Amino acid sequence: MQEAAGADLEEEGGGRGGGEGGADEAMACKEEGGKGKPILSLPDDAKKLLSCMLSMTVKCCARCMLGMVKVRDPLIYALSQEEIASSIADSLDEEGRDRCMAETSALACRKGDCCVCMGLLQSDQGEISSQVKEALTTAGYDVDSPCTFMLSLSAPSSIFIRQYLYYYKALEGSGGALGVSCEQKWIELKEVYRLTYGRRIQQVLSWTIDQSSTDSCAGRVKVTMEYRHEESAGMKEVLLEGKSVKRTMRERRERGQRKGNLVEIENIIAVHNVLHGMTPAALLSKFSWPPAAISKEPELTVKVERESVYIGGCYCKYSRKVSQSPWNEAHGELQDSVQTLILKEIAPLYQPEETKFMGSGREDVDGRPVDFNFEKIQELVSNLRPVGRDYVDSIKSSGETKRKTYRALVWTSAPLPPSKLDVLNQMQELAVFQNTPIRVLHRRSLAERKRTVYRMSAERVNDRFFLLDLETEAGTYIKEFVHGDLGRTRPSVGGLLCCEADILQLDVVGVEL
Amino acid sequence: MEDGVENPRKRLKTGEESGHMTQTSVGAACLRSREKLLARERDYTHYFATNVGGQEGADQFVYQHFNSLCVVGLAPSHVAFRDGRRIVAVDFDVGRSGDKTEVKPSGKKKNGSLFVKEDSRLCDVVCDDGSRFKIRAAIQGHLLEMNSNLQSNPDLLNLKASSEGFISIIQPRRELENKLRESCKLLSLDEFNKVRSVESVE
Repeated sequence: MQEAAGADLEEEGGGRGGGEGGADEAMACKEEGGKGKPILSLPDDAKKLLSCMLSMTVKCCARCMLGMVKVRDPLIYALSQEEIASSIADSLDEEGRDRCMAETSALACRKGDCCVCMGLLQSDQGEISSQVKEALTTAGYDVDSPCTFMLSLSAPSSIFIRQYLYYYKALEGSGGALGVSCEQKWIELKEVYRLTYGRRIQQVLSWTIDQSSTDSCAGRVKVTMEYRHEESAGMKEVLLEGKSVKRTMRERRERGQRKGNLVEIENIIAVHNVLHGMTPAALLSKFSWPPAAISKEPELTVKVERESVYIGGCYCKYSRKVSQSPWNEAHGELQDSVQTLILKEIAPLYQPEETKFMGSGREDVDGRPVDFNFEKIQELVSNLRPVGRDYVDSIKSSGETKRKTYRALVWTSAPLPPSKLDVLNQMQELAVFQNTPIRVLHRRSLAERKRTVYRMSAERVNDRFFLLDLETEAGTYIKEFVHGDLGRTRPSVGGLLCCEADILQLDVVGVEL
Repeated sequence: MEDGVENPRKRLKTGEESGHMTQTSVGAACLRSREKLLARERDYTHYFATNVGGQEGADQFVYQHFNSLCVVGLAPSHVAFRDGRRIVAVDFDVGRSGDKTEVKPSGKKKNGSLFVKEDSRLCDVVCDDGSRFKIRAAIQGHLLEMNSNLQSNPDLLNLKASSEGFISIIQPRRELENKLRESCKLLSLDEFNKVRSVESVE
């Protein structure tokens, strides 16, 4: 069922058609006669609750009521407010129906007059759908080819307070006929919201809603319906009594920015916790009833995001001039790096807002005049594939257990007799204490780290040069282990040989996981 | 890895097969790098400050690493080394902020580090003839580390003042890190040599 988001009139007609057409195909079992209208059948408890709600003077919209009595049939939500009202009336017995009829006008209360949802569930489905479609089209998505997406709702916290208040008031009206059940009093707002609009949005988009949360959902589009309502924000403050009203969080940082700006976000979790733990009497005494009428409905913004995609693989670097990640711009021009080269290939496929490159091991180019870099002897780039979150975690944790072998070319300030190198060859399991090297101190915290050099073997080239093979614990700073970093790494190769030593070239020979 | 994709990690046995450094291939690298072999010469730009804090002969070096951090220490021409003097002790517990080795910056941002100015006193050195000289920061920035090895081994200053006998590591203010020389009135190695040789002639 494809519908263009066109003129209002078309929308209106399409809306009705959508509801009825859906009933034809899926809800045959619930149809009755030729009416083609889904039938509401409710348990006794729900009926009682409904009558109580209907007898209240404060108006609440029909969909809010459906949510309160735990109706989960999307076909009923798809109906208009008036139609839902008559369905509710049909479901009640004679006595209840009479009352309901008298209140039908109350049921189909004007948009925005609902004392609970403040209009959130009263919007025209076609209108909401076309807003979602527009947001997705603007973000560059093809809404006509099948795709799955996640529909989430960010609602003003006052709605949740209103839900509780309304429910407790309704119970009060029942005169104790209905017991308070603590477990899941009603369907959560976000679910009611999806029941109300989800069906229609799926029809407009030819996309399917998928709310599951498994690894296979990587990259799924997430549409967030964000409602803001400053006018009623005071309710939350009354509830929380000033403590942790808002939580601050860092925004996603922009390019070139050191950190994201601080933004205040609604502290919904705190609101829920307080509401859940409060007795009806305590809550009702906190707020006046009915809640103050609102002058403006909550404002909707549709946000489109994607969940993170993880791509893993192995690569092999044969050039000393290509670093792992782009080197600090302040120190020379940006050259190719493994990160930029790989991302250059991948990014056009995903068009990401932000990318992160995570290497297992962090050898970086040193930016010094002597060619100085690392080679990774692995296949060039192999086995590049989408991976799950757990792969990322395994890379992170493997950093602690890895062993690495290196080959380094070392220069010494004094000529060394061949026998002197035996000092190094005899070393076994040498414990090395390294203060954070000056080389990286500008971006790492200052600490002393203990690392182990498992094995060393030196091969003499001439008086001043030798090749050094090392097997070390992951996280050992090799360059500093050789030259000593002004005495900040102890012991060092230079120290062991009683002269000054420095490293001219370094290769990663192997990584053991 | 049963699916026929070879695990690259299994191949990491020896370096030779992939053209790693061998005896024959290192020669070129040796030749290329004759010029500046030591890390402190290659990675650092050498600056000097003379008469720091207005004290005659208080010459210090400021070696700026290419990541902008600075290593500060005593220049060979420092008055503490003149006239056959030897340094026998380093006293870190000076000035208003007390023992500087106690200040431990934490985290990536180095929270809690001490902000120092050109004439902030870092420590005193005591010589064998009983004279005492104040050592100052010479530049503006956050003090990241004092060389606490000097406490137990002050002789490092006499033997290796420009390497292991450094005094402190200072992170210049971000605004200044690229124009440190102008803002803190530092001399290049050439300028420094000129100034000091002129004085010694006089």
